[in-house]
Amino acid sequence: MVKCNTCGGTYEPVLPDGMEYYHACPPLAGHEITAGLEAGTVRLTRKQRDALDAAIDLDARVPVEGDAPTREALALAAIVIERPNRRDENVTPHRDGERARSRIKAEGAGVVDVPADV
Amino acid sequence: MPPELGAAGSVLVGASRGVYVANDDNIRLTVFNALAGVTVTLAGRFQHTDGRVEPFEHRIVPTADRVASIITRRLAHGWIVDLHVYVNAGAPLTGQTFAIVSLVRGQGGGIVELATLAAGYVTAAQRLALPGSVIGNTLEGGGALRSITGTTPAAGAEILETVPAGARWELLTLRAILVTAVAAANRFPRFTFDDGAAVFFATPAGPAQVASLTYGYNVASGLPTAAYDAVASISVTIPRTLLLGAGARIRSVTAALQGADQWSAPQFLVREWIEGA
Repeated sequence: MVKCNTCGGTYEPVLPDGMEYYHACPPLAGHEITAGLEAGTVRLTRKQRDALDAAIDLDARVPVEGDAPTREALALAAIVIERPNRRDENVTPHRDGERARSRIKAEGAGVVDVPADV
Repeated sequence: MPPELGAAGSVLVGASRGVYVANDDNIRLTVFNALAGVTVTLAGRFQHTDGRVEPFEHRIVPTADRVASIITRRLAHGWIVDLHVYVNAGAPLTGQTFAIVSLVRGQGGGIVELATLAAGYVTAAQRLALPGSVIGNTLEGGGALRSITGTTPAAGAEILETVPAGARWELLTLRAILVTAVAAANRFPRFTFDDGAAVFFATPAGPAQVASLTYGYNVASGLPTAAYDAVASISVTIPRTLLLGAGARIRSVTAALQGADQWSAPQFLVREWIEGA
């Protein structure tokens, strides 16, 4: 088993059925976006900023009822910001004459071997 | 030499017995393969212009990334009497190894593809044959049934799975478990499907999952949307036939996901075909 040094996800590079598995880091989760905005490490596009601000404003003016999700939480979850230095093991097909020489799309921070029960 | 294959007669008899191969023609085997450890064999019989019938055999160890692996081999002047293609190492399912046999002119650069002789999925037991087999398409048939364990995300991270390059999936089921931490918040998980950029389907969110709970999310077609049973199992419906091309992504999107919440590795059942593009 390996652990991705970028996102911390763990996986088997070869699955029990013998097929290769290609890991890709997920986008930032909502709480990671919030933390990144506060730390100045995440920047939103204008469209994303407008949508988030509108959600926050509406939550303040018309609070959601019961256990419904806040509009801010929904807006944050809908924002897709790719993880910095993401790893993407999916291949880019490439041919050198008759030889297939695929390359992974992004190395990211690499991986490290970990015990299977981690 | 068989009496019907005299020097002059062999030209007339040979012309009706197989695929004519000129001096500059070569045979090419192209394999798209998704399983490691596979060897594909192309074997058959070749009749020379002097009437001799000689067996031939060529092997290729294709890559396992669904990218075309190719060998081109010289033939003599004569006729391909018959040939077949099969897997002689590894155990791919139908849908994981696709072979194309063609006649080409040239061997290095500037190859001209002249004819497709055979094309189809092969396994150790299922063979491609000339004469006999039809010219197949990679998207035909039921595909290979696969149960895939994805990545276990780090705490606080979402699930992301990507359809590999060269593959086409039909998602049958997906199951993932969310264990919420002690932090007070109502989490609302859903699943989205995008083409790598634009979301083309998003499941509805189920009931709120509050702190310190373990809910299993079962995604399949024909389920009641976001049903909840006594054992914390949430059903989530998807379209009946959800086909996903290479690069399409399956993601969890959880409103109010907390930093210590933990998604399990998704376990999903798919039908997979080689795209063959």
